[in-house]
Amino acid sequence: MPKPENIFDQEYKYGFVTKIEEDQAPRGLHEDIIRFISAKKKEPKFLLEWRLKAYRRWLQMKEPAWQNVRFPKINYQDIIYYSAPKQKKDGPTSLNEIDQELLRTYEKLGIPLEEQKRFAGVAVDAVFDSVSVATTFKEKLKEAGVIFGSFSEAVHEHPELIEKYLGSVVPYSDNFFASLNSAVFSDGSFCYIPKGVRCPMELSTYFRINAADTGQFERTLIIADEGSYVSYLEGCTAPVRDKNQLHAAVVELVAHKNAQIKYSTIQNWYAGDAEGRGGIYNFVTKRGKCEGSGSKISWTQVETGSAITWKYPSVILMGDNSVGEFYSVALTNHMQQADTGTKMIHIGRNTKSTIISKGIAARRGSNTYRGLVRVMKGAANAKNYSQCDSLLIGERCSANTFPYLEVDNKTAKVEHEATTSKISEEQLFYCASRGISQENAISMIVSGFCKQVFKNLPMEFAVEATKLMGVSLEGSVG
Amino acid sequence: MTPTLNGNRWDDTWTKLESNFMTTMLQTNFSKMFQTLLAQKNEPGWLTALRREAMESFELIGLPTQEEEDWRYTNVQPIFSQEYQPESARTQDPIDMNRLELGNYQWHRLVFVNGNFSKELSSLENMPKGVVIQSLAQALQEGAPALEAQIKKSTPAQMNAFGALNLALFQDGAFIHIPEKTKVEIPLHVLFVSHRCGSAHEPVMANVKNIILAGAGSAATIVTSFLSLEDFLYFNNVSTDVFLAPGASVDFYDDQKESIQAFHMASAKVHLEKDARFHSTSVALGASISRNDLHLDLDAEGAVCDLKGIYFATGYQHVDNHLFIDHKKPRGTSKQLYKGILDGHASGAFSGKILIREGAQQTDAEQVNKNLLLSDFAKADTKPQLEIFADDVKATHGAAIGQLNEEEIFYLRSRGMREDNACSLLTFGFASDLVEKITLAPIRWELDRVFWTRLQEK
Repeated sequence: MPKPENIFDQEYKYGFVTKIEEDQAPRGLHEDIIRFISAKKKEPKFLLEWRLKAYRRWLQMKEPAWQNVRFPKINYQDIIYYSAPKQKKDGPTSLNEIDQELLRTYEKLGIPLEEQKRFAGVAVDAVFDSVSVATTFKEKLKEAGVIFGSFSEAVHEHPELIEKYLGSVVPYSDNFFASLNSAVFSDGSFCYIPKGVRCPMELSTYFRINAADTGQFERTLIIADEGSYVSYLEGCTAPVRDKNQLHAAVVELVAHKNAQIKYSTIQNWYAGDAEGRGGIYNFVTKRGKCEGSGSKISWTQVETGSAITWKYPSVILMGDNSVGEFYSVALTNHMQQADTGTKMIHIGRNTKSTIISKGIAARRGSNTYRGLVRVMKGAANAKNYSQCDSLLIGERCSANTFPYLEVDNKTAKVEHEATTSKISEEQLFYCASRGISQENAISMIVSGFCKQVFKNLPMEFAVEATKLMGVSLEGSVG
Repeated sequence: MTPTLNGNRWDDTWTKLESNFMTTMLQTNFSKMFQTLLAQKNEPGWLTALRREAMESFELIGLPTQEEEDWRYTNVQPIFSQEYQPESARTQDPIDMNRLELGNYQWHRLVFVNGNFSKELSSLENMPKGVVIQSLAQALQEGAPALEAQIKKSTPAQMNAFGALNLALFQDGAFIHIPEKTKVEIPLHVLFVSHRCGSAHEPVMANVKNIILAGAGSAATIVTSFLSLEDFLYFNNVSTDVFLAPGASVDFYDDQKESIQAFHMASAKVHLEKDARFHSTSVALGASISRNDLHLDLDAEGAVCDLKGIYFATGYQHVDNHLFIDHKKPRGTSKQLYKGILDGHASGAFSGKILIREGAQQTDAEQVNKNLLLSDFAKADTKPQLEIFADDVKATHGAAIGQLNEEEIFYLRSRGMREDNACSLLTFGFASDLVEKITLAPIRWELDRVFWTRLQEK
């Protein structure tokens, strides 16, 4: 009889390496490397200063040790902090100038960069190692007033926005990995939605690690001005390698009055092999600030890849009546480890937050939910509802739930529920007695377990997520 | 947002300095106490060695700070902002039994005043054959092999500061031993009375050690009460070890009504053998800072525990319940229900960890913590935790923090009830779903009475 965890067994289709000449910084980290990265990008002075400030702070910091994931000490001097495909001239202006090898890579990944081949509704910024290689539908977005493109480009074209918002949600001194990122970040996406604009299409960034021994340190900044709306998607893959690679990104979201940001992630970095060799360390700081009243930030994440996932997409609910949401499915198979969750900080009045977290641990996977709900003194009538469920498949996996509820205002209503269960013999027997094969039964049960989260994903992503999880999605097309 | 430096608090440098200073001061205080104790007591060598080991361990680890995950919500600095003298320094005044308001229950009674055993106040007649309930110090003097064996199991290196301090400095406490297959029908009541003696300047720190051994197939109800005759400052540092042999069953009540100025740090370690059953009810009403550590060790198949707790804090009280349920073997059951009412500027903390180890299949673990905030200045922090390493288990937890339901208040008001009365009634209702489950009637009545009085005073 097949084992239930077999439904997660799929070959990692994105494990290939693109043979391309890359322009790299020398191995190691010191101030000259930071100056090198900054010079490569021809950055204004304020940004270099900011990077150096972050680096100096980072040097004083200690690596955290409270997490529930184990990994050998990272040698930060053994990482290549900048690696970009060689270009004939500065910055590609049209697709024709991009290396054909790169175009083929993205095609292989299922992300064709030619606009006519794309889903009409999604604009893509493609980040390859340390740089953004192309952004689609830029013109069309410009018509609507939306600024979308690589971070480096935005530094040149809209330095005033960068200076104003960079580090306004995740300061350069925030935590060990955020400081490291602030010092050496190379590229990422920048997005600004002007007042009252509903972004005409979904925006997305596709992150690809290709070069060996590099780390990817991208930075994403999304600003939704008053009354605007944007849905942003993020996907990522990396080649199969025996050596671990570090990915330490920072994502900052700012939602002004009545603005809405919906941020979806499908994280499918290489997870390492069945014995736990190789894979990406995904140590990311993601945080959104609901600055204006009535604003809303919603995080949805499907975490299936990475050897280690360690992140807490959070929302600071500053504006009155603002809303924060966190929907997450985290799958840890084989030797994968995840310590993920969220922080909801209620500051404004009548703020509301919802947390739905589904953890699946199979074989020897370790899955941890860690979350904080803090209601500050002034956050009258704050409401939070959290639900954290774990599904265990196999005798050697583990599931942990560590919620922190800190309430300083009596009018707050905070509720947390958690369950842990396995796919029971009875459930399988029930399905078998109705003629449903075991494989389909397990797929159905897993799909039901994740449903609350998947239904929050945009369609293209929902389809991909279900494929990744080896389940079928109810009511989906195709 | 609080500015941060290296992930620590910005005022860290200062608190660390302050805490270092305090630790030095304290260590002088405690090592003096320790030296006096060693000089006074004529104890067997192994115990002196163990005490010494514990003292060294305490000096090594120092006081816990809020930087430590286990002490995140409880600041122990106020406890150590003065020096203490040991319990033995106190002369004992006679106490009028009526002041203890014990009611008319004919329970077996073991009484300690300021940490010292009081023979006059205790009542231990008609004890079933073989049942031992006596002063621990006395038992040690007479030589009780089972007791010695239990104390020898202590590992100071694994204790926290309070546990180590307790082991180094304990004077007395209760020793209870229920022999195999013996059922004790009448509850065994251990009372710790704090009483201000006229001349004392420095507050007293009592290090109380209780040891309870329940033989195979035995059954007993044990009540420990902490109360004070006056409102004054003192510090009770309590450690309780419970060992349940296969099939033993213990109903344990912890009734904490310390003085509102006092400090109460209690830690209980319960070890359950096969099919043993441990039911506990913890009531925390007194003390300015109180902490209850409860560590359940389900070390054999089929062990069952049911843990209930209620805390009601007002003024500037702080109450912290810290539970750890360690499911080591299959088919264990654990249930936790803790409810808190927080009024005034009070703060309540709850932390409960359920650990289900690899191989502890078919464990059924449940945990609920609910908090009611009655005032604008009250605060609740809760941290329920599940750590699961086996797949065929059932584990759930739930936590909630909220206030009284406005619709319910409105309903009662529409029936002509005054608002304050409606609130009192609903608060009482919040508590009573737990209180009603308490099987020992006198404890239940007493709680009802205390709740009503407190709510009426509001």
